[in-house]
Amino acid sequence: MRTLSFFFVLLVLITGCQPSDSTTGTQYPSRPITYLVPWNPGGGTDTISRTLAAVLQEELGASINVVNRSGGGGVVGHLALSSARPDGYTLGAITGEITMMHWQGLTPLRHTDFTPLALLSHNPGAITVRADAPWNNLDELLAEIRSNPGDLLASGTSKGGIWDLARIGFLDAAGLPESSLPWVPSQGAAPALQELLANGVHVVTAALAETDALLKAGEVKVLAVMADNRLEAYPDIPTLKEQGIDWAIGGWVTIGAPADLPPEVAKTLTDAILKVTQDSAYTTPLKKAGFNLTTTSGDALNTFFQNEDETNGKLLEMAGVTQ
Amino acid sequence: MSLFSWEGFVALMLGGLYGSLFGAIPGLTATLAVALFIPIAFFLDPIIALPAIIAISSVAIYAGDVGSSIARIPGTPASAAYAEELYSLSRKKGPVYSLGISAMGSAIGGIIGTLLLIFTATGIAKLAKQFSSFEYFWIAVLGLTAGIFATGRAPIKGFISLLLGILFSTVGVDPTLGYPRFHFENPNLLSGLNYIVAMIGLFGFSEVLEHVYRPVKNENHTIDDQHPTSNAYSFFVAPLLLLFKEKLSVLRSSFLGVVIGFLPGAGADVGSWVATSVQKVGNQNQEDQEDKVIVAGTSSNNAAVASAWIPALSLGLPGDTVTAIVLGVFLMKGITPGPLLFEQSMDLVWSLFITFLIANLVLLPLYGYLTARIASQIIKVPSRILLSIIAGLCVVGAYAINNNPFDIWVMVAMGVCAFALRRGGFPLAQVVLGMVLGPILEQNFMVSAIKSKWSLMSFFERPIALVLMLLTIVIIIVGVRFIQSGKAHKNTTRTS
Repeated sequence: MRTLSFFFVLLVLITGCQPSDSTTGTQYPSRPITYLVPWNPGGGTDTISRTLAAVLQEELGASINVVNRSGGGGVVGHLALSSARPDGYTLGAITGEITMMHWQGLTPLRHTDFTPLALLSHNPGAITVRADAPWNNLDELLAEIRSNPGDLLASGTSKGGIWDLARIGFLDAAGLPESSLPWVPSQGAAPALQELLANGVHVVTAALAETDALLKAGEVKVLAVMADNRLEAYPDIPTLKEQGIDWAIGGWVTIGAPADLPPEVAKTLTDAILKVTQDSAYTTPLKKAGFNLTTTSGDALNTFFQNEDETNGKLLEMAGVTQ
Repeated sequence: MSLFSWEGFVALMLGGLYGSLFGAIPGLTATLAVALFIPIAFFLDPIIALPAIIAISSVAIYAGDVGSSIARIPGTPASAAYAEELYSLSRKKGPVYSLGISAMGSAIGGIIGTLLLIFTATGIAKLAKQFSSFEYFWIAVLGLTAGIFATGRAPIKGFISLLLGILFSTVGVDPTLGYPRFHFENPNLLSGLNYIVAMIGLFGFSEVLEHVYRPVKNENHTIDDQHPTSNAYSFFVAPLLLLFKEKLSVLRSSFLGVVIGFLPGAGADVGSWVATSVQKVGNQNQEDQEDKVIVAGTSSNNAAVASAWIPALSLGLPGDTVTAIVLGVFLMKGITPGPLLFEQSMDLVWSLFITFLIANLVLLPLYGYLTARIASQIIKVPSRILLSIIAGLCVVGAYAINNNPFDIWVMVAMGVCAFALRRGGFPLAQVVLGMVLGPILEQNFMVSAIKSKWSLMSFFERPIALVLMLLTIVIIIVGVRFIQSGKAHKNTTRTS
């Protein structure tokens, strides 16, 4: 019986038997925080979120449970975050998809359904092929696509997802139709890379950070990065722009909360997050893993959201997937 | 700091204890145990943190069987494959003996898995690289087929349970094209039905309903009277003798666990189901084969735990949530997984291998014995009290998976559903298997079809895919033949 009562004590401890916060005046945060990741474990958003959570919980003094709610091209996780109580005890990663999905008629959710707190990372897409692929540079790959349109396949995320847009924009800028490099939907970057290794697809357009381990292991090669300038961490990888294709796009990760977060909670969180983003415990491992870290918050972040929303709306219309 | 320092020893022992407590409580999974450990792992030397994670996950997977043995609530979809057998054997011969088989089988399977990991990691990694959506599709088909024939005498009923599970798995947003299905405008249903929540309801809550419906008259049936042998004997010696007798089955099951276990997603589950199914089909005519089924399932189960690390270590691709978290720890510590890991950080790789061996040789028997002793006390608790505790644990466990109160209703609904299924003699474990493999089947079918522009012949063109398809056909043929010969056998004994 003593063992049983021990089980119960343990249960209470780990499930965070949530005491009611009705007593006003209790300092936020006074109980564990749930952090929702709308994508699979192991992907870029997941890695950033888990690293941030580990340091942020020290800063806030409340434990943060990272929960993956993947599926439906990101709808499921974002919806779970937006419909949570805006009390600061449910936070989550908001990714670029939030500025895309509503254009496609997948969900009525928009960026206005959230309280964005800080832009954590902005990762340009890349053209990645297998290490033993016959194309050693972008021109050779483009020549192959031109001579046999539709033979090669690309993957990286769900249909109409950010890396699908990266593909469409890239093909358009290179003067090729969308059907010349068809899209194979996947549940995220890691399954797409598995397909690439298994020769199931030929090109992955996901961010460099997601392919970093395989790049270092010599399993893949990166022909170009879709950024304005070469990345600090990868000085040898040329941009599309310097190869004559005027195209840049990136996936990004924001930490946010449901809409109508009380301003004082938002301030506590933003201050803590901005402090963490300067902490080497957060920056060092993520930079090593190839992430392009940023810190944008406040009004600049709202402007960023609006711009992305408009740009992606145009892109999706170009792709013909708007509703 | 090294693994052989006192910190390393303490980390392993605490990891094992933590894992055994977590695994034994329904709804608290190995994955959750590891996820909650991350903030601590972050501040530890990787050479301590990673072994602790191995200890947690190895012991937690075994401890999932404790729930099966006390209350027929399996801890993982993999252990659902032999939950019925484990429960019934615990009622007959006591949980110390049945959990002894489980712990010793896990330990031996884990050791075989680790040895294969040490000597064939790079080879298996090469094989893993060959797997595209076509191969995953066939693996899912293989697992589902094995599930049908693991039913034993009534494969048609198993098939129906399986289809019900697959139907449950279609609730939520379509994984390929993002179209919402069966959500009835309820956002909670958009993310689908969680199979762990379903498992708690199907096995745990339905057991409670069953006893409310038909109360057990003679509770407190004493098990120890029938078995005067000491507890330690029936935990360690008797199961080891059994394992030695069944050494071929152990080897076969561990091998199946390793070769199927490395697959991302559901490797361990499929491995365990295929192993138990092979065991059942092969011994269809023998009575009293519960202990052998447990041996097969449990050894493949833990062999797969080691094998799930292969793609993570050698390619940097996580196979399941536990290894995804481990890769996160790697990155935080600036270690790059992949072939370079084997060249540059051999000390770390060896400490991982050694921990796998220690976890299986020392931690599993130790904590296994402790939990089995506790289980043998719990099972003596009058069933009225035990069942109210189980009902409470079901509610807490279902809530704990996603901290979502909606899941409690899903759990209750599943319990009622299972109660109805039991009335018709339909097996429950197949429902779980369908829920786990359904999405993998659907998604990989869709991706394969899109990739090949709906040329369905491409499902048979890749060599590994073809081999997997042939294996599926072999299971069907052998399974059907054994069922027929079993029927013939019964008929002849009846007429004679």
